[in-house]
Amino acid sequence: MKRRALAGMGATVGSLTAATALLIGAVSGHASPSPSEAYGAFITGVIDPPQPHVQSTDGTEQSDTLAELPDNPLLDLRAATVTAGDGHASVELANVEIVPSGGLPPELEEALQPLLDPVESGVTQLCAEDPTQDLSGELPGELDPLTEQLSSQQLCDVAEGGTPALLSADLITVACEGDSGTFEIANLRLLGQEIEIPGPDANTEIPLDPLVNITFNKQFSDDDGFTTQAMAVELAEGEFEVVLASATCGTAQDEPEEPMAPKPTPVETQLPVTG
Amino acid sequence: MLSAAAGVLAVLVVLAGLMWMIGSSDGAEHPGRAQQGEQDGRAGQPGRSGQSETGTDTVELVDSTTHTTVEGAPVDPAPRQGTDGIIVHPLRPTPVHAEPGGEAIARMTPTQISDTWLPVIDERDGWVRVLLPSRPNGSTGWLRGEDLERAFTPYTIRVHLESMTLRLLFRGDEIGSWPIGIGKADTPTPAGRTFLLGSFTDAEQQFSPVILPLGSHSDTLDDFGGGPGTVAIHTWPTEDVLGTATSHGCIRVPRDALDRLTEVPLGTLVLVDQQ
Repeated sequence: MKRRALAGMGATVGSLTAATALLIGAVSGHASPSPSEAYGAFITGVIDPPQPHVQSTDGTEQSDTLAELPDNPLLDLRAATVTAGDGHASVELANVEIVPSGGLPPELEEALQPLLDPVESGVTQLCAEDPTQDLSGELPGELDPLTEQLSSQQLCDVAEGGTPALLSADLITVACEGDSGTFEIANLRLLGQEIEIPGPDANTEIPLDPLVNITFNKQFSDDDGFTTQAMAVELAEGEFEVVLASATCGTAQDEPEEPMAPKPTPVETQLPVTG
Repeated sequence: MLSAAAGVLAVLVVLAGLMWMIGSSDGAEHPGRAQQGEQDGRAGQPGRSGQSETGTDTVELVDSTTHTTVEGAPVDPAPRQGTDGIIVHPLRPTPVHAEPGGEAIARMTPTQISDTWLPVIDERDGWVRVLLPSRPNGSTGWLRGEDLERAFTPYTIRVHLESMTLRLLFRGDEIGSWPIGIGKADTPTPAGRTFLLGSFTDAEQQFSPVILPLGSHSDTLDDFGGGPGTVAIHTWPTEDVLGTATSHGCIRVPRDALDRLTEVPLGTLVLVDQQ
């Protein structure tokens, strides 16, 4: 069994957990004076600043689209549309692939070896002994809505044959309106297997590691307003961050307390400009 | 085995992120020592320099003006975003820092061509981040809030290169739109976020009753006509240049546009995009 396939296999189980946090719903929060903004993807140091990204500071609707993200091993998509306006914002991502087909960079596989070794042996044993066994018995009960949809035989086949996109979806949409948000996802697939999404609460964090925080349908309010994000991964206390589809809604602009700036009086001088 | 596998996705993200962070460690935001740029202009105070207030060594700091280049200035992280209209004016010569409390990279003086007014793009713990008038385009720096007078400008100027249109917004509402002339192919008008740096008359220039220099510079001309390649908004003796890409980078506007734009406070944001 190839390590590349195993990396996808292990990640699949992580995604199983994460997928239970997906939600179609809304929560409310308080809004504060701030512009509305929306962006498709942010990865610290990679897609940084986020792309595509629009901000409406004056209430006029701003929109942008992007057909391709900068080359990176974590995220791929075919189209991203972001819109921000007066108290509303939305993001639509089409054909999203997380850890796309083609596997991981060799350096990553090498770095992951200590972690993958026990996974490799475990999966090898599982698939060798009884590929048809029910996975749900091995996973926490709250994952039943997902695990009962998956075929362990198919997962073993995938592990043997190579890794399709770890997690993919035909369409991911987040939107906010004032202080409420929505999140929708169409045709979510784990390693090529389509699964249905249950509807757990927003902001269900995935307890993977003390240094890692993964949240699906993250919703929060801060000084910038109310924000909803399809997926947010924070590492090393926020030093590294991955955000997929983020929409932030401010409220109507409050006029700043600063005095009005003066009208300028032209001075007589000489500065050759570019003409 | 399965609980260990659940962490693989997170670890993938961590390692990939760290790799990218290491790979991009020579990125744009490197504090560095300011260096003197061109000093052959006449407006402003080119060439005058101050002393760094940080560290024990005496460091010559270049004034950040349209005549100079400030190396190590952090790059504008959001060159297409608007702001909330806050602008600042140095009350006294004040150091420009690469980050709040970090190394001083330049000095900002109260007066350059006119009174110095700079748009605020970020604030943090008593520090404000502003756009700089010096090269290279997209330079920003942090100033101590206690050294600054604050004001509010309700205006935003939007320049669309593809449609060769300039729009003037007041509190987010368009109050004027005009055809413009822009830079030709080999001397294009630079896109990005800049600001109204000054307002001056020049008896030796016949093409415009008032010239409005911006914080940006030609990317292809290191100097022009004895000046530092400063981009400006101004009129032109004939209106057949409107709707054409024939300038050396400047933005040529009709007379009625200039009449409105000369009412706009210095420091007002100018957003130049490719639309």
